[in-house]
Amino acid sequence: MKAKIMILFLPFLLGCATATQVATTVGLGTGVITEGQKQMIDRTAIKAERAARPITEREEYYIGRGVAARILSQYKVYHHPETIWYLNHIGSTLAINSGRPYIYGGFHFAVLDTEEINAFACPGGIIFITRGMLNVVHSEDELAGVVAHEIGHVTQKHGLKAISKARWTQVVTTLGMEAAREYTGAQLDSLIGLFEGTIDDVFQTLVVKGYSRGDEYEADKLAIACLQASGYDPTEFRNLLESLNGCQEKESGGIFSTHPNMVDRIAKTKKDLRVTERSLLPPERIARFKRVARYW
Amino acid sequence: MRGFVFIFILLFLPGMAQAGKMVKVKVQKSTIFQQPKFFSKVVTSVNYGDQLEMLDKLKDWVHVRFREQRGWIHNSSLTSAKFRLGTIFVGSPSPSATHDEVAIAGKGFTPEVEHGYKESHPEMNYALVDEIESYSVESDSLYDFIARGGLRITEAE
Repeated sequence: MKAKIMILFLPFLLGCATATQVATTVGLGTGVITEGQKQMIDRTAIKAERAARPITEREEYYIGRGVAARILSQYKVYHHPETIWYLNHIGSTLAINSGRPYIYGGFHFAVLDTEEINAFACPGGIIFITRGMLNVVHSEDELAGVVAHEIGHVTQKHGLKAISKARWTQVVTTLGMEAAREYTGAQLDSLIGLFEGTIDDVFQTLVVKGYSRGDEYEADKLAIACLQASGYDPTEFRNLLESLNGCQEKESGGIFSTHPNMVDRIAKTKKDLRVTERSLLPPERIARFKRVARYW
Repeated sequence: MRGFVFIFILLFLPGMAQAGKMVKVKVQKSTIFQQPKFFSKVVTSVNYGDQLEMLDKLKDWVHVRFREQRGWIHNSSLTSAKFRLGTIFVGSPSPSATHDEVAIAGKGFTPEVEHGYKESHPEMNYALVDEIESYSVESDSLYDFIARGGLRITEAE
């Protein structure tokens, strides 16, 4: 009997509460379990599935909007139509080649009006590049390298890793097991508090602590692959890291406080760039960069 | 024998329960194209929650029927209830395979939660977020940008 009850838990262990409910109904019908045991197994399976459920892309989008709103309460935006047009065209080209071209709200790219050298990728696809960073890059390909690195953080959902597991479990627990679509006042208050905490978790990682080294190296690797797929010269990515390394000697804040040392990043990307031959940049690509960059 | 059949059913029930040919759109907006590639002729647009009948698959593209129109949509736009063997036996929750994102969308961090947060935090600059989300790139303009700049779209192998 014990073994048969264990079998009933199999679908639950495999992560499907609906299948568990079907299985327990079969078990009840064949006399393997009692009604009380069926209810207990069903309750446990539903609870476990909800606790295990990942953050949906729609939730990721709302978290990202919150993080962006918080960043924008600290930084001004550079409202320059030509730059916005140019950056969003580069970003859209890279996004198509990123492996995750469609995300809930789409990718959007903006410039923060600050001398600080930095870039931020909010979960859900809002990406910020600072004017300080724009002044570091020497070509469209280098700028594409910055954008591709940030797109990598979004596609791999690195920002969401910052959310405390305990907090997310609390979110899922707050939702309860009933199918009601409307929240009670207490539920809504609790979720708003948890939403604030979630935004804070991600903000702290993006702006203060930085991602893990592993996530940074992964974003570099993905950036190189994405640049290559898009027809950009990936060797310009190394030039970008070298330029940043030059700035690192003068500055310590911004990207330099949240990212691994540029020398380490250059060393790590060597393998991915080894087989690539440097290509001649098309004149139009050089010209359009110069046309826009003079405003930065 | 009866025991073996029972175990067999239990092992494959999760897949059987989720198998199906209907897929849902999990992004705010997406496009059904005539061919399985970006910039091919647009058949129609689809929105979050729309249900499509899956007809075929080719690399990253899914051939679908939507309101008597047929075409190709990129798989990153879709959530599918379709069972994938690997994820079941690994047992870890997979966003794309074991959960229907659209079905659970009414709960969790919703517009209602964002609204409540905005009201209690007027200092958060949501107006600028909305403005940035309005930055859009027209398909023809992007095609031109890619072509003139010597860039390309690389489809999955």
